[in-house]
Parts: sequence; structure tokens; C-alpha cells
Amino acid sequence: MSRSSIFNFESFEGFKPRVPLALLAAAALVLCVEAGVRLTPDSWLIPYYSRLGFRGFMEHEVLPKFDAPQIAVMGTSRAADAINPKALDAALGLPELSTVNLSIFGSRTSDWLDIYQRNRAKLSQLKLLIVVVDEWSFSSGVGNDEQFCLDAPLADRWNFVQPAEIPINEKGAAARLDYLRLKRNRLLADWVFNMRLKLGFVPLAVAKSLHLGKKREPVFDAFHMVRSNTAETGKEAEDPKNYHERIRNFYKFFDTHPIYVRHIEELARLMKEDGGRLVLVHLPNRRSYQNEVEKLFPEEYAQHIRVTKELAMRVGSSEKYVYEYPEEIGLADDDYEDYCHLAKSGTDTCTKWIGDLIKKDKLLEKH
Amino acid sequence: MQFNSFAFLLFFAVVFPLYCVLNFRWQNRMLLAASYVFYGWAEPRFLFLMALTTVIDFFIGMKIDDSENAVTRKRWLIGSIVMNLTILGVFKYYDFFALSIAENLKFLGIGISPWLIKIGVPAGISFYTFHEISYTVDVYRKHIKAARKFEDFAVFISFFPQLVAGPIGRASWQMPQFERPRRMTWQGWCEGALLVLFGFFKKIAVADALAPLAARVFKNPGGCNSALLLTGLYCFSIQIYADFSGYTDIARGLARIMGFELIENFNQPYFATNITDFWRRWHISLSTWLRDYLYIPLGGNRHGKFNTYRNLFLTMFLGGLWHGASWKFAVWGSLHGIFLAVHKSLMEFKKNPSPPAPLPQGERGEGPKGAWPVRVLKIIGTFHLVALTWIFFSAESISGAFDFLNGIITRFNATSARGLKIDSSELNAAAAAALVMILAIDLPQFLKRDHCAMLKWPVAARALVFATLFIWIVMMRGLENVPFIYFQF
Repeated sequence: MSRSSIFNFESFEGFKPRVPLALLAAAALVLCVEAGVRLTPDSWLIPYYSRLGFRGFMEHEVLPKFDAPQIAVMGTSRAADAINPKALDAALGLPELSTVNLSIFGSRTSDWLDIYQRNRAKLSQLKLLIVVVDEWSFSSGVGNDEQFCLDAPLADRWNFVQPAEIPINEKGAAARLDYLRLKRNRLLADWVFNMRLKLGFVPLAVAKSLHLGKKREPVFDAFHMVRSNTAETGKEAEDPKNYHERIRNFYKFFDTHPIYVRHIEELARLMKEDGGRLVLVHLPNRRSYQNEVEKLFPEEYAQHIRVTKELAMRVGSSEKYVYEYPEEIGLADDDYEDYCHLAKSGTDTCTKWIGDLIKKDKLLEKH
Repeated sequence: MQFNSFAFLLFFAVVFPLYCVLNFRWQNRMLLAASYVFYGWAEPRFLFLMALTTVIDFFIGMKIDDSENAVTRKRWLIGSIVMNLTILGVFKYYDFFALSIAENLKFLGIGISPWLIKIGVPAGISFYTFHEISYTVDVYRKHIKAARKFEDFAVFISFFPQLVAGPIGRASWQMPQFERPRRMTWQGWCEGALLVLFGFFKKIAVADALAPLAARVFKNPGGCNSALLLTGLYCFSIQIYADFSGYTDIARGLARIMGFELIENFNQPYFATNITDFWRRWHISLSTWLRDYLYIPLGGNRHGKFNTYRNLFLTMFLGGLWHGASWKFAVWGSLHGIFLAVHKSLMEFKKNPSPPAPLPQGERGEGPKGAWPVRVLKIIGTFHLVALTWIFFSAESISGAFDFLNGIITRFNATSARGLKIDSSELNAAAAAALVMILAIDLPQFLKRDHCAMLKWPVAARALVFATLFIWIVMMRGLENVPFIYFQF
């Protein structure tokens, strides 16, 4: 190319490239670390009590105890604390260990689909899958999605920026778009580097191998429950305004993202394919908390309820299982440990309610 | 556009290969277009403002250069300065001063509701205004010839690595780099890449990690005890350094990769042994700008002790206001002005020679000297003096700053408020980790007096450092793009 050309690489005159040994060695080191965290078994690396490790606990410590489950419950800590499988079995006259509560604290719709797919051989025996959704289950604005960040298919990551239903009163669509882009970018980065989520567990795993520190593990109790132990009591009881920070965390970037909704649709499709039935349930919050939610974010909450009801109809469930207020299923404020987690009395009431519902609506019969 | 965004990654992935293949004339044109895209990415509405002042200053520069008449030259210079400062004043300070005046009149019983602009401060306006003033003054002083090609001048003003948060370009240093072909070198690539890596590490792994912790303490100083307030202050002191010097490192690194040399902006400021030394190491491009275009024209140290101290104070007061339209920045600047004046008087009292002027570009001065225990004590003392001023810089208001100070002094045994959601062990651990990380980068640079000292390490050591920094960045990358603090100025 001539010197007068627009494209003449003149900045490279005298440029003497060398082999970037340190850079290559650093890249090799990074690759080794990444390969290391990918190849290391999760059972060694990730502690069961962490959100990422809880699935492993369910799969390796809980599910094997159930040879022929007929009913499964999936949801978050709310569902983990709400349904007592042993009591439900008794109420329905089912053999012991027919109901398994696979709820994982802080889990997302992707986790539930994932756990079903990974354990389909056993879970295809289910006659009924009760999916308990939270207020933030379909929202991309809540961050606890570590498992999704690790396991999401590339298509979901790449297509994460798509029109999500947002509250009608919301301003700042551009800011929301930025947020979705950021989340998409992080999902793509996590697809390349699992180390972001896994490397931090290495010191703990090493300590565990060396038997250092206290051993902490979730407990599968005599009621066949793995209680969440996430209840936070105290200042909220003094003044409902103390709920506001939590409520804002849930609703700040509230939306209904199609990817999370599709996970439930896919779960319903698999259940149907396997001859079972999926029932979508919404369990009510404590009254004092619920009042604050409706005061602060009425439109967001209304959107969540509407979307849940529409989804329930689409997946062959019923909108009547979308309970909004504790009185609807016989719960009082005393039955709660905190804003949504049920105390023992609440668990008994809720489990009985679900048992009666299953009998009344004949949910275990073939449909 | 933020350096720490995916959009910038794509932007540079397009701009740099293009830059590599073009001849230097087209490089400048392409860089000009790219810089305007970079600037207008989030808020294109202020592009016209930068374009307007660029066009005007380009013509004024030529007028000054072409004229041999001293009065005419001066008139054109004054015209340029007035135009630039008026635009800066209107967009950045008008609302602030209008409200301040209204409040004071209200205090005197005169109620007025001032007309406000309320359109926000254009990003980087303080920086590019100073670029432009530096240009016309340098042309006036005959330090440089006026640019004859508009794209050369326009790209000097808008050069994207330094556009929104500096370093503040000095025309005499940078204009020649835009007027002749640049050469990229392997060494430049290595040094540039290292600076970019350091910059991202400082920003993401240190500054962004400390930001929420420091913010919680500064937001609620009344709820914290002395220890928590002090640790919060240490966190902010490290955060602002990591944030701003991180930005500078990225800017200088990107420029160096492309064959440019930007003015050095930080030289391990927290290793300063006195306040004058601090200002030779902190935001060097601003401190030298203020010295050359404000302090010296005010008279500098040429008219007696009182006038020298007055000039120091005025310079730092205005330097404080340059940071933002708020009295807290004025107090911050004033405190520095007072400290500098006191230090200067102490030096004169001890009959020490005046501290040396900042070094010319490219020279890094002497390394550590003197007995190290004394030096360490001086460093710790200076750090605390500077940290004290950060209280005013970061607090939500001046009264908030005094609450903060009062808390440090009086609440030794108090327990911190429950609602703060921050425990002192978390804060201590974060501050200690940040300190270690910053020292790991700064100490080798300080000891070797070379920002790229690590490039001389053995391959294995370099590889380990690069990999560690990269992994740390990946681990700490949050979901939010936390804006650089100095973007607001």
C-alpha cells in the first residue's frame, strides 16, 4: 500500500513485536484456575448450606430417601417452611416418604426446572408437583440467581435483553434497559468464567477437607422437612415500616421477565409429558407486611398476582390457588416467624389446608 | 460511556483496529468522531456545547497567533477565558449560586424564587474547559503555535480517554502529539496494557468494593461510633484514590497503547510526607494547571508572605469549587489552602528552602530518603490530614461533615445503630484488604519510581501478578457499573 493511502499502518513503523511470554503464562494460569473450578466436583467445593450448594444437598441427601415420590413441592424458603411432607402424607393417607419438599432458599424458577430435569428419572413418578412462587419469582430485578448464572443455556443468556413487562407507572425505561444489558453481560461473562461464583468457595472447601472450623449443614428433620432457618424476627414486629427496606429490595427493579415465566411453562410441559400435574400456588405474606407492600408498590404487586394467575391458567393449574391474604387459608400473624416464613403452627395450618385442597380437588387423580 | 462497561469494550474493539490501519490524518478524524460518540453515548444533548466552544477557541487561537499586537492578543485571550468560564459558570454553578443567594436573602427577610436552569451539569465540562483555557493561554504565551487544522485541535479537546475525568490536558504537552504521526511500540503496548489492568483492578476490586461500605457510614454518621467512622473514612480515602487513579491509569494506558503520552496524574499520593508533597502527587494535572494558570497569574510568591498565603488559599478555594457546585467542596479546598499556607510558613520558619516545584513530565524525582521511621510517621500524619479533608468532600453537607467529625471525637464508647446493616468487622476487613491491594500496586511503583516497574520483574512473577489481578477483577465485578466519582465534576 502506498504511503499516501488512508490505510498505511504508519503507526507501526519500527514496531518490533515480541512473544508476550508473561501474558501467555498469565492466560494459561487463568485458564488453569477456570478449568480447576469447572472440573472440581461441586460436592467437594460448594458447601451445602450455601445457596449454590443447597441443590446438591437436595439431590444427594434428601431425594435418595424417597424411592417413589408422588408429590413434590418446589419453591423458596417460604415453601420449605410451609409444607410438612410427613404430615401431608398422613393427611392424604399416602405411604410415608410419598411427599418430598425440594424447596431451596432463595431459589429461582430456573432452579426448579433444573432440579426436575436433572432428576427426571425419579421425579417422573410424581403425580403432583406443587410450585410455590414468591413475589419476585419472575422478576429480573432480584439478584439471587447464582445457579442460573452458572447453568443457563447460552440462548437464555444471549437473549436476556428482551421486553419484560414492567409496572405501568414506571418511568425510566432506559435505565431498565441498561440494567437488563448489564445482567445479560454478566450472564455471558459467567458462561465464560465460572470462577466468579465458585472460586470464593475454595478456602472453605480446603478448610473443610482439613477438618478446620465448625461443620454446618442443613438438617433433614423428622418431619422430612429442611427448614430454611432464614427467618428474621425482631424490629419488624415493632413497626411495619421496618419492612420497607426489604420490600424495596424486592420491588426496586420489579418486572416480569419472560425467561423466568418460561421456566414454569417448561416445567409444566415436562410434568404433563410424564403424566403428572403441576399446580401453581401463591402463599400469602404476613398481613402486616402485605399491607405495607400494597401501600408502597400496589401496581407492582397487582402485576405479579395477575401474571401468576394467567400463568396458572396457561399451565393447567387454577387461579384459585393464588392466595393473597393469610385469612384465606386460616393463617394469622402469630403463625408467621417473620414477613413470610411460617412458624410451626403456621406450617401445620398450611399443610392441612394443602392436604384438604388436594383431596377436594382430586389433584392426585389422573387428569 | 464508562470505561467499565461492555459498551466501551465493544467501542474500543472497533476504534483501536481502525486506528492501527489509518494514516495519522485519518487517525485524528476517526478519533474525533469516536470521541464524540464516546461523549454523546449517554447524553448527546451536551455535544453541541463542546463543539461550540471547540470551534470558538480554535478561531481565537489562530487570531492570537496571527496577531503581533499585544493588546489585540490579550483581548482575544480574555474573550476566550470569559467565554469558557461563562459557559462553565452557567452550566455548573448558576443554579448553585442563585439558590445560595436566595437563601441568604431569605435569611435577611427578602423572599425571592430564583429562575433556575435545572438541566444538569454536562459531563466532563470542568475538564474540557480547562483543556481549552490551557490552549489559548499557551498560544498567547507563545509556548505553542495555534493549531491550523481543526481536527487536530478538536481531537485534543475531546480525546476520549481523558475527556470526562482527565488528566487535564496541557496544550503545550499534548497538541504536538496530535499534529504529527504517532509511533506505536511494543513497550508502549506493554506499559499501556499494564496501566489499563491496574486501572480496572483499582476501580473494580478496590473502589467499587469499598463504595457501599463508605457510603453507608457517610450517610448515617450519627449512627456510628468513633471506630466505625474512622474506618469508614479510611475506606473512602482509599476508595477515592483507587477510583480516580484507576480512571487515570486506564486513560493513560489506552492513550499509550495508541502512541500518546498523557500527563501523569498520580504519583502514590498517600506516600506523601507533607501536604505540599501530597499536592505534588495528587491530581497533578489539576495542581499544576492551578499553579500555572491561577496561582502564578495571581502573583504567586512574588509579592511577600501575606500575598503568597492569600494566593495559595484562593487557588485552593477555587480548586475546591472546581470540583462541584457546593460549599462543601469550597471548604475542602479552603482547608487544603490553609494547610498549604501553614506548611509553607513552617518551612520558612525553619529556614528550609521552598519545596521544589512539580517536576517536568517524564521525570519522577527522588525516591524515598531520610530515616524510614520518621518518614513513615510523616506519611501517616499527612494521610490523616488529607483524610480529615475528605470528610467535607464526601459528606452530604457541611453540617453532615461536622456531625462526622464530632462523632469521631466524642463517640468512643458508643455502640453503632442497628439499622446501619454494617458491622465493624466487615468494615475493618474491607479496609484492610483494600489497603493491602493498593499497597501491592503502589509500593513497587513508589520504591522503583516507575509506574510500570512490574514489567521488569521475571516472567513468572509478572504472569502471577497479571493472572491474580485479572481473576480478582472477574470475581469482584458486580452487576452495576459504578460510575467513576470524578465523572460528576
